[in-house]
Amino acid sequence: MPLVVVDQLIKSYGATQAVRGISFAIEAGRCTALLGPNGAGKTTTLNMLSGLLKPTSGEIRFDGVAKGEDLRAYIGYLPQYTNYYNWMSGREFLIYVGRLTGMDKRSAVRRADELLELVGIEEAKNRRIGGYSGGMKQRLGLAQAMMHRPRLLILDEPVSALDPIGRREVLELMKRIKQETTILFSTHVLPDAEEVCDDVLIIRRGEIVIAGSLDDIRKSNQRPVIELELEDAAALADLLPALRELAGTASLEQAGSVVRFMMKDADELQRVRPKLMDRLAARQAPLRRLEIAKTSLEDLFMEAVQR
Amino acid sequence: MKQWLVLFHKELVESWRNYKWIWIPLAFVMLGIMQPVSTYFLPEILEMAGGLPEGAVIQLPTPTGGQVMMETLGNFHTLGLLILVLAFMGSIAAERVSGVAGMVLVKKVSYSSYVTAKWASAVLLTVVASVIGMMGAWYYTEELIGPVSGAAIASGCLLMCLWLMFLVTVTIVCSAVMRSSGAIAFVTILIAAALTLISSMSGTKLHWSPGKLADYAGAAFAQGGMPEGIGGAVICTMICIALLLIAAVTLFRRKELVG
Repeated sequence: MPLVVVDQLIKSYGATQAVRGISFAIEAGRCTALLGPNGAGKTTTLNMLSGLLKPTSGEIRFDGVAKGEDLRAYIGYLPQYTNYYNWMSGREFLIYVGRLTGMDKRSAVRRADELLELVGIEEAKNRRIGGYSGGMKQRLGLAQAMMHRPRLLILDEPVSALDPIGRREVLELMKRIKQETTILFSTHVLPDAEEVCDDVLIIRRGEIVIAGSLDDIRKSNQRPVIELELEDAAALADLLPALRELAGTASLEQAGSVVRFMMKDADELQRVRPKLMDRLAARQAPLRRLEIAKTSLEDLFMEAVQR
Repeated sequence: MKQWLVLFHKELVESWRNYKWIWIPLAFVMLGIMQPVSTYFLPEILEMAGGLPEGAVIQLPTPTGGQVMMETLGNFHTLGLLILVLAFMGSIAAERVSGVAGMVLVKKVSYSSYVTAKWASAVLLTVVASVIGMMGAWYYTEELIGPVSGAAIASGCLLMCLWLMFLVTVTIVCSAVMRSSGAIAFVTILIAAALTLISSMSGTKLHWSPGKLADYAGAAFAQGGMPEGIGGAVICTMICIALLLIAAVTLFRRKELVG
């Protein structure tokens, strides 16, 4: 039974549709990445889930929650651009958030201290938030989203604005958090998604183009690739017409002295490989590297969003 | 209710930490004592300013305590109002623009509590500042000018507070609806000016209008007690405040907090 089911969600602004009929489900206990280029509708989708935006049409159903009930109690949300009351300390803000969500003072204090430790900013807990660094604010953002133990944690671009170190820290933190809470987060950076998520939703111009578990997507979309590198670009240019002819239906990509053949399937690989070897040997091509690899998720992502 | 108290407490702490609880009452005290003190020293001030021919005799009619208090009231209604509008114009708008409102309201926080807690904190500060300012004015008027009856002070103070409360409510409504603080201040002051102008030009026809409260507060000092026939205006103002708050919550709820 999925935790959240989203059905035909549409958000339009005037004549333009930012989100055009998205449907997906989020399984409890999994970490899902909403992946897509800038402007694909990721933030709009997350804002509708969080209740900050009202969908133009469509439905969001939460497991065990009656229709029409306020979903905000079950959701923890970290917006893309965080802002706090800069005059509060980190600890004060967490306690304030906890008390707003109905905790009594003592349990709010306890939970705040627990989370400050979890996200690793306890040494700064009594400093004013105005003096926090971007990474610290992001970690405080994670803590405030988790104060009321939500069933779904929604994170909008949690690492995009951070430097490499901050990014690493927050990703590690997300790995730890996902042990306890279902997470849905958006990103436009594929390696970030690959690192922490179990499921992927790839979204393009307001529509979902690929959805499924990371492993399944990898398996079902993986195709063999032949990567060939010669000593120099001139030698490759020489060889290129012959290679094109040989490639047949496989798509061919060239960059500098490297050429990549993307195969449709393993059969095609079996057909092309021996011919290619013959050709290379016959021409005595100045080979530097010949590699049989598989398409990466990056290739799939680029293909999906550029189609 | 518990949530409302948490929100209200946060507002109080915030206005304490950004010194609103210091500078607003201080500004009102200054406004309050300015009038009696400058009236008392007016002959000396004129003399020192110079430019008068040798042997000129300045004869000023000595004003009564009530008259000085009425002039003080005028200061509260103009400069005092300006201070309040500047202090509270951002109370909702600034939080919306910075995004922290979204951060709070994405939790299960009721929109009406959010708005009314801000309103209550602003009103409390307004009333305290007005009363302290009034007390300052009263003290110096009694010391330097002449007696003013306690009944006049009480009635004048009450009516002035109600009028300022009404305008602070307008500020909060504008703050819930608009994003630009300049526009919020402009609209609020325009409404205040329009209401007083229309009410005083219409004579007694609009005796129930909130805009009349400023006149009535002045009349309290002229007559030395609560003036007659103010019930309509008082009740009407209270109803207006309630309706404005409902409007603020309704409009704010319909606003989308992002994008």
